[in-house]
This record gives sequence, C-alpha cells and structure tokens, in this order.
Amino acid sequence: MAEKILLVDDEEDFLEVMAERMRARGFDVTTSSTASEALEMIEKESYDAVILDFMMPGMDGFETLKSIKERRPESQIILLTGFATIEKGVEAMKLGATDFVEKPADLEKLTEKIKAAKTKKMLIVEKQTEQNIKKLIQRFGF
Amino acid sequence: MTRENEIHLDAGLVFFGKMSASISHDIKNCLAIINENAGLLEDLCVGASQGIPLKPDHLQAVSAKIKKQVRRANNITTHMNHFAHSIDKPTQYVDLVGSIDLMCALGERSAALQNVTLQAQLPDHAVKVFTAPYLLNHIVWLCLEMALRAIGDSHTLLLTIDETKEVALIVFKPVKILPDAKGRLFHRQVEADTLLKELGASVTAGATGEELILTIPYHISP
Repeated sequence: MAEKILLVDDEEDFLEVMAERMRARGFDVTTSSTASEALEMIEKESYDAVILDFMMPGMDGFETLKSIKERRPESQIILLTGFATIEKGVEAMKLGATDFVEKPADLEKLTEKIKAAKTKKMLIVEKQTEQNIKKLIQRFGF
Repeated sequence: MTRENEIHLDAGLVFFGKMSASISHDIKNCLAIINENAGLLEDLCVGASQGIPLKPDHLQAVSAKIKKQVRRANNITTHMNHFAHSIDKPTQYVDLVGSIDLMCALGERSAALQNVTLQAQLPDHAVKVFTAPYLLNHIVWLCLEMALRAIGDSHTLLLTIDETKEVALIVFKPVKILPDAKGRLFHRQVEADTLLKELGASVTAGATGEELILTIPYHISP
C-alpha cells in the first residue's frame, strides 16, 4: 500500500514539483501551503509521514510540530529546513520530530526516511493496539 | 575603545549577520526548487529511456519554473550586493527611496513569517541625503522590526517618505505605540539610541499614536 504523505511548505513551486516527483515514486501525496490548513488536514486524516517546512508564515516549525503531536501523537514528522543547526535539530527531536532534513533535499534519501517513518508509525500503532487489547482482556477477564 | 563604540561595532556585526542569514535562507529556497526541477528532468529522462514519451509542454513548464527561480535568486543576490556595499564608505550621498526599497526587499521574509506584507509608497524622484548608509539601513531595520511587533491586526505595513525643508521623514504605519513607551520604543534601545545619535536622527510616535516616524537630516553632522 502506498505511503500516505502530507507535504507542507509555503513555497507553492516547491510543493508542486516535490509532489509530482513523489507521486511518480508511488507515494500518495497531499499538499498544504499553510500550517493552519495542514493542522486541519491532520485532524481529519491520518498520514504515514508529514514533511514539514520549518519556517512557515504565521506559525514557526516548533509550534507547528507541537500542535501536530498534540493532535496525533503517533505522527511521524520530517522537518525540512534551509539551515539545520545541531541545536535546532536536538530541540526538534525532543519535541518528537522523526528526522531533520536540510534543503535542497536528496529525494532518494528523503524516500528512505519516509519509508522508515512509516515502519516506525506502524510499530507505534501496533503497540497501541496490543495495549488496548490487553486492557480489554484485563477489564473483561477473558 | 569606548563602551558606545563597542556597542556600535557589535550591533553592526549582528545586523550584518542577521541579514546574511536571512538572504542565504531565501537563496536556499530558490536552490531547492531548482534542484527538484532538475531532478524532475532526470525522472522524465529515465521515463523516456523506458519508452514513456516526453511531452514538450511539460518540459517547457519545468524550464519556466527553473528560469523563474534563477530570476528570483538573482534579485536576492542583487539586494545582498547593494546591502554589502552600503558599508564601503562611512558617509556618502544616499537616495532614501533606494534605501527604503532595499530594506523592504530584505525585510519581506521577516514580515511574511508574521503574515504581513510590506508596502512602500515612495516618491517618484530621488530623495538625496548625505548620511552613513550602513547605519541608516540598520536604523531602518530596527524600525521595521519594531513596527512589525506593534502592527496589531493589520496585515500590511505601509512605508512612506515625507520631505520638509529641514529633514526627511520615513513613516511606518499602522504601528500601535503605547503612550507609556516614550523613550523605550525599541527592543534594543541602547543600540537604537547609539545609531540615532550617530545619524543625527530621531524616532517619534505620530500624533495619532498609530505611526512611527524616523526623522533623517539631509546632511549628517561632520
């Protein structure tokens, strides 16, 4: 099944060409050019990975990252940035980012990161399901 | 070196660094789009080698996108070049219209991050002042930062130039200045005070309390 990706960047030309290249690689890509729109989409839909531009108008990368994690803690977020500093990378990881990629990104490497993110998300969801089943068993004494 | 000179030098370097970082970020965005379009051309070539026909319209669209980003990056580097050369001479004649245009172009990104558009309504003639160009750019930047912090609900910051016999006025609006903020308008007040003193300039709130006015003499004191 195709990886379901949400690509968020305020550069429309970047969104368009990235989406085209990723679709050609078999990804199911949705795009958004604002952080607020992306948050609405994440509330409605579940994505295997969110590729998020770090510097967006209206809401900075950390703020957006926190908001996504509040809505969907299992989200796998790969941050895209013009300049990656170690400090920013560490802070982003502490807030729950899966990875941090510098622009211009190497699409093949990004593809690997997306696939790894999907696997990680599946494991989290499986673990959550397992815990829920255990709770049900304990509750009803099966 | 006096304390004032130290502040002046440090703040000047910090300002240069901040502008350079912002400009390089913008250039990276252009490069990222060019890079992806080049990658798309590679993808299309791979497809063509496997028998998927190339569509001329598609190739033309990709080429147009690359050209657009090259133009954009060229504009950015032109602004960067003008900004970098503003430090060449301590004092010289400067066209205020050009200076405001330049600082608006450099401030576009900071403004956009706050969902604000900078709009410069400038005279169609040059407004010449003999001043310190780099210090002028720096104080205009501090005013822009201050105005963006105090813009309130508006999504457009308007910059205009008024001329009187004695001075030129750079007006930023709307800027909501609190009545008790007098004398402490800036986030970095010491830095602003040092620049204003060197330029013989001043910053005041307009009569309505909704404008920030930077007053620049036509000729800096020797």
